[in-house]
Parts: sequence; structure tokens; C-alpha cells
Amino acid sequence: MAYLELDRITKRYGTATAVADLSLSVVEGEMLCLLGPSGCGKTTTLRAIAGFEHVDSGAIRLGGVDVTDIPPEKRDIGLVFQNYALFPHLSVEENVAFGLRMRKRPAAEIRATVAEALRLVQLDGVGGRLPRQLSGGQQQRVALARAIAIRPRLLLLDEPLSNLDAKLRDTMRDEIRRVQRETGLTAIFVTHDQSEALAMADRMAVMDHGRIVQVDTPARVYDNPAHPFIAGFIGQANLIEGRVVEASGGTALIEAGGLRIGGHCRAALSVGQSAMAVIKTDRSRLMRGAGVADETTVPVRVTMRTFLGPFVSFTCENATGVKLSALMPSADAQFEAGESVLLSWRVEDCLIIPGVA
Amino acid sequence: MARLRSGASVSAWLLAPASLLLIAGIAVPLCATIWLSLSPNVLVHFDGKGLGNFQYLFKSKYYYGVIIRSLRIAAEATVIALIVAYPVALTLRRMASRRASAVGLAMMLPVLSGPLVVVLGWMILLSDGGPLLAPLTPYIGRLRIVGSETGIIVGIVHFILPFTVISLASVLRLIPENLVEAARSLGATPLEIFRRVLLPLSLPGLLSAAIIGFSLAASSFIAPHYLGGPADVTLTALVAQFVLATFNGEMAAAVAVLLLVLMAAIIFLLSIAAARSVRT
Amino acid sequence: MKALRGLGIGWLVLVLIFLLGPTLVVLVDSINSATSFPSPFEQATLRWYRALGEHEEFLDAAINSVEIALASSAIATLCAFLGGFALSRRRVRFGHAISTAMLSPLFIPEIVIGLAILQVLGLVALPLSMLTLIVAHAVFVLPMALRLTLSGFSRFDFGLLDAARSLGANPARAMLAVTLPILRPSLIAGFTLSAVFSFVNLPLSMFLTTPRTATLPVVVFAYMESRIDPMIAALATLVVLIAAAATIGVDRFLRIRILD
Repeated sequence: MAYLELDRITKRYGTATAVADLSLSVVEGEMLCLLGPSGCGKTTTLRAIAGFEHVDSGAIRLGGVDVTDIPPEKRDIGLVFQNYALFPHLSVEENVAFGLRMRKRPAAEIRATVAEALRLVQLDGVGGRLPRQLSGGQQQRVALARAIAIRPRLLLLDEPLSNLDAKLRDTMRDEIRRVQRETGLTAIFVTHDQSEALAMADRMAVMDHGRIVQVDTPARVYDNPAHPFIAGFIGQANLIEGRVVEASGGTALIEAGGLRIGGHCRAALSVGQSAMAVIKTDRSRLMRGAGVADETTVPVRVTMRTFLGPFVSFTCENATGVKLSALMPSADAQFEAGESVLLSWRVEDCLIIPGVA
Repeated sequence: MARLRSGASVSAWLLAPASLLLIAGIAVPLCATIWLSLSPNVLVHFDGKGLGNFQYLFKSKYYYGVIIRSLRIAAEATVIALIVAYPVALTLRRMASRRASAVGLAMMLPVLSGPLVVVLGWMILLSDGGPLLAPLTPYIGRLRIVGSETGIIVGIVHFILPFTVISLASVLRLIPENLVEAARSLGATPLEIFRRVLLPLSLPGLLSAAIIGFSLAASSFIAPHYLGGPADVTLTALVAQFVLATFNGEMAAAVAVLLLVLMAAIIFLLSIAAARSVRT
Repeated sequence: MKALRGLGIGWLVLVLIFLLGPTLVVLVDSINSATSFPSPFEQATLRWYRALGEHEEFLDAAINSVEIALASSAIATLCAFLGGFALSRRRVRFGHAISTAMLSPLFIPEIVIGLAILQVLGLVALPLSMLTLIVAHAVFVLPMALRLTLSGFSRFDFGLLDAARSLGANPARAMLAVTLPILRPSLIAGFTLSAVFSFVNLPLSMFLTTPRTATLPVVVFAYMESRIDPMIAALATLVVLIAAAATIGVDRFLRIRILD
């Protein structure tokens, strides 16, 4: 039984459709991520769940109750804003107490709840300070404490890490996950950063143009993108468009720009249809030697070598101009720009998916 | 959808008090004045409603002189104020927010003290034997400023200067210092930086300063009244004369409407000129 | 570059002297014992201030002026707060036209506003009253209140209202608990400067006062038509002090930055 259910919601602004006939179920206690490029409708969806956008059609049910027409202040949904939206005129404690004050809780209870929320986000001792006296990471923690202090039925996070620097981002990512587990809250967070989504989500919903294109666990979305859009959006992959020339059992062969590329497939493919080969760059390998081109090996010339620390990224091109990349551990990456090599993959690391019609 | 009221209707309610105030305090009263300005009176006779009062004002040599004088004084004062204000605004551009605003507020002190106080000060300073002119008498002879058009212009420049400085400075302060540094790194001299970067980018500010300055100059009543001579009547003084001395409401209305129309026309021309200069 | 900056500062100082000179010289003459006005400084005295106390008409007029200033500024500040909120929160249809209209009193000569209100009252046969003056002054100071309110709202994060609502505040409570406290300095500054503007205004009130509702500038204007004496300088000094207190308060305590 779904805890939160979006039932075919649509939101238009004038002639532009931000969210198109979108349905989604969220299970109690899970952390679900809405992932997509900017303008895909993920923030609109989040704001509709929170009650700030009124959907043109469809229904939103929370815990079995239709909340579509309930104003945001009566939904009991905690929201962490992208820019934190801390009240600048109130101290940290007063910020966290705000929601409890609005609910007219007794003073003693407010004090206890605020202290507990601040302890949970590891901010004891700064309760008397004003938001502007805190670092970005601390402000983020206050925003989180404020949202959970009201014991919300649902926690929403809008791009919670986008205003933090890279190092802090990893810490806060783990913090948010820990707090969500400890409180047992059902949470939805929005991001355009695939690595955040892969790291934090129990399940992720990938959005594009106001629709959800795939909902699954991060590992399955990563390994089995259901759509060329996701293949291009998640992870770094060589995407090669072509036509199916052979398909049988779980494997297929496509032809693209004079290349024949073999891989496995999950959907049924028919000969002649357009398809796309998805080969993750970290599963592509370079080798020396004059091997013959076959379905999993392409002779290429290295055009650029980029040192990335633990990895080296190689950009290569074959004789007909198809560009392919490989990401290899630095230790095995003894190839120079200009060198002629072979780029190969295993059949199970190449996914053939139906192309965009 | 009773509970989620649409944003537009909330905005309308929030704007209602101000709109009501503007309608009751300006729109409706101005309609009454326009109505009266089209009506015949003891001075000008015609039937029904018409433009007779305006024809009369333009045909009379005396009133025509008043119109021209008012516009000339306002224009001169505006130009002087802009020339004086621009370097001040350039200096304020480089100051820290706190200090620049303190200077801006200090400049507003005479405005906040009111026109009567300032006029009193000018009467002390500029009087024939006063502290400013008395020491100069041996060199330049007896100079009459109070009671002359010069006196009016000094008074008006003084009144509009703070407004022109503030509107210029607030636009100039929006120009990032980066742009000036970029120009310098490309070899521009201070004069070229001014001519090719600061001046073009501050044109909108110059326009709004000119519009505010001109409107306040053309509106000023007290400076001409005290610092001008009996021959230096302006349109605002004429309004007061028709109301307080000859009790001719229709003519007062006609002068007021004429003043508004002339101001609107000049503001309109300024806006067009500025729009052109920005485009080229 | 450095020499230019020096020139700039020098020019700024000259302009400040030009602007503040006439105001400050009034302070000096108000304690000058010379009886003719203006005249060179003789000796310091407070007799002109004592003389003020004997003129009850000034005190009565000052009370009228204070009442009008407070009432009109309160109205203008409220209108500016609500209107400024609406104009800043989201794109309002005709928003630009509306804000121009709200700033328009700045471009209409005060004497014309006064005349127009006098004439509309005449046409509908209503008497002049305190209310008339209050409405006229409220219209006149609206641009001042609105400018400061809009600049306050330009730094206001409207997302805070969403935050308040997600925490359980209805729109009215969000306004009281979040918008009002954050905008308070701008509102107080707008109110204060509006009140001072109203208090010293003459051309607006000139046609609209009756002997019972005469404001201080109107009474002083009438007095100055017949003679100008050091007592007027003493009165002017008191007004300057009020204006200076308002200016310093806005700068120091409210930390309003009028240029940014």
C-alpha cells in the first residue's frame, strides 16, 4: 500500500506543461529521489506535494487521505529548501521551534523537541546564534532540524546539497541519510546530480519533460537504463545509435557507422528497428595488439588522454569517425595520444536498448 | 477553490488600499481641476466647456512670459544640478555602502528640514550685507542675488541636488567594479573609462535624475516666492495668486493643468531621447 | 587615478557645504542676540527660544502638524507595505503601471495636489477638515514610504513565506511572524521620513487649512509674510533638529542604506 500516491497529476503554466500526467507511489519509510535535468518538472512536482502548486488535474494522496486541496500549512509536510530559507531574524532555536509554535505546543514540549532535533543534527550549543552566524553546512543542518521538529508525515528536500562545497556535500549526504533512517521518515528529495541520487536514494525516479521515465533502485537504473535519455544522463557511457541486425535470446547485434556492436538486451528487439548500444566508459578497455575487429572489439586511435588521479580517461576515434571513450585505472593506463589500440568490452557490459522512434 | 485563493486576487486586495488612496487623493481631484480648467470665469468668457482659458494664457504677453520663464528656470536648474551631481555620484560609487548612504542621508537633511528653513538660511547667507556677499562687495560690487532669477535658480538647484545625486549614485553603484578594472586592463584612461563605460551604463540613471530634477524644479513654489523678485513669477506662484489673491478657481485650475501638461510633455521627450541614446 | 579621487572628495565636500550651509547658518542666527534680522553675530542668547513659548499659535499649529504627520504616514506606510508586498512577490499584471502610479505624487507639484483636492471638495460641497489634510499628506508621502518599502522587499526572500507555511503558518500568520519583523526597519524608516516630510510641507497644505487646522508651516509662512525675525530662526532650528534626529536614526539605528 503506497504511503504517498501521485495519481496522474498535471501542472501547466500557460501553454507550457511542467508536469504531465505523472503517477508515482512512495512506500512508507523509503527515501525516494526525483532526478532529472533542470526544467524537467521535478521541483514543480515537489512543490505540488508540499501544497505550493495547485495541480490542474490529478490527485495527491498521503496516508490514504486526499490532500490535493489542502493548503500547505495543514499538510504536515516538512520541507528543506534549496537556499535553506532560515528566518534571518530568529535564532537557531527559534527557527526550529517555529513550526511547534504555530501548532501551539506547550513551552516545555517545544524546548524538549527543539533540543532533541538539534542533537539529532549534531548542532547542540549553537541554538542561540542567528542563521547568518553559521556556516553553510550548519545552516543546512538547522533547515533539516526545523523540518523534522514538527514530526512531519513526509520530508521533502529540494536540491539539499547544491549550495555546499564538494567536501561538505559528501558529509551532509551521509548526515541526511542517517537522520532520515533514525527518524524513520518517508522522504523525497530532488536533485539534478546523478551521483547524489545514486548514493542517497532507496529508489530513484528519473524525470524528463514532466514525465517519469524510469523508477527503480539506483543500481538497476544504472545498469539497465530503460531509455536512451537515462543512458545519456546517468553514468558516463558510449552511446552508439544504429539498427538491429540480429536479435536472439538475450543478445543483439547492431550496425552503426560501419561498426557491428554486440551486447545483451532486456527488451524484445526486432531486426531493422533503431536501437542504441550503451557501453559504460568504465567498462570499456584499451589493449595493444593487432586483433581483428569483431562484435566487442574496435580498432581505434587515441585522440586525447586526460589524467584524473585514480583514473585516466581516453577519448578515441575509429577509422569511420565514431568517437568512443574509455575510463581506466591509472595503473593500467599506459597508452599515449596518437597510439593505435583496440577498444573492447564484454557482451554483458554492453546494453542494447530500443532507440528513440 | 476557496482555501487556495489565486495569487492574482490576493494581489488585488493587497493593492486596494494604495489604489483607493491614489484615486481619492489624486485621480478624482485632478478630474475636478481639469473640469474647472475648461470652464468660463470672470476673466475669460465663453460658452459651455472649452479651451478658452488656455488660449487666454498663451495670448497674454505677461502669462506667456511666465510660462517660458518657468520652463527656462526649471531646465537651467536641472542641467546645473546634473553637472554638479554627477562627479558627486562618481565619488559615492566607490564608497562603502554604509558611508555612501550616510552621505546621501546627510544630503537629504535640508530637504527634510523643509523649504521654509532652507529659504530662511539663503536669506541670511545671500542678503546684501550677509556673510557671503559682504566680503566680496569690494571686488564685484553690490550683487543682488535674493530677489533675482539667479536667487531662484540657486534655491532650486539646492533643493533638487540631493535627489539627483541619489538617483545617479544608486544607478552608478550597480555598475560592477570589474567592468572598470577590465577597461583599465585593456588600456583605457580614466577619461575613456568614463566616456565608454560609466557614462553609457549610467544613462538610465541620468534620465531618471533629469526627470526627477525637472519635475521637482518645475513644482517648486517656495524658492521662487522668497528668492525671486516681484517680476519673477512662475507657474506655481501663478496658481497661488489665482487662488489666494483673485479667488479665480477656474484660472488657477487652467494654470495647474497647463503646468502638468508641460511637465508631462517634457518628461515624455526626455524618455524618448534617452531610449534613443541607449539604443545607439 | 589618486589625484582624481582627491578631486572627487574635494568636490563632494564643497557640495555638502553648499547643501548644509543654509540649514546650519539658521542655527547660528537663532542664538544671535542682534534684534534685526539678518545681522552679524553679536552675542549668544536663548531669548528667541523663550519668545517662541509666548506664541501659542505656533504650538497649536505644531500639534496639528504632528497629528497630520503621524496619521498620514501611518496610512501611507500601511498602503506601501501591502502594495509593496504585492508588487514584489510576483509579477502582477500592470505591475509597472501600478508602481508608477504609486510614485506619481512625486512628479505632481504639491501645490497642484492641494488645489485639486480643494476644488473637488468645492464641487461636492464638502468642508475642509483634518481628514482632508491627512488624505492629501498621505498621498504626498506615499512615494517616500513606497520607495523604502520596495527596497526592503527587494532583499526579502519570499521563499521564507513558503517555509513558514510548510511549518504550519497560514498566510496571515506568516505575514505577521516573518514578513513584518524582517521588513520592520524599512517600514519604520519609511514612516519616519514620511512623517518629517509631511511635518515640514507647506505648498500642499496652503489651500487646505482652516484657522482651526492650520499647520506649522502655514502659520510660519503667514508670519513671514509680514516680518522675518530671529524667533523664526529659533523655530527653524527646532525643525532642523527633528529632521537631523530622523536622519541619524534612520542611518544609525535602522541601518537603512538608501543608496543600495
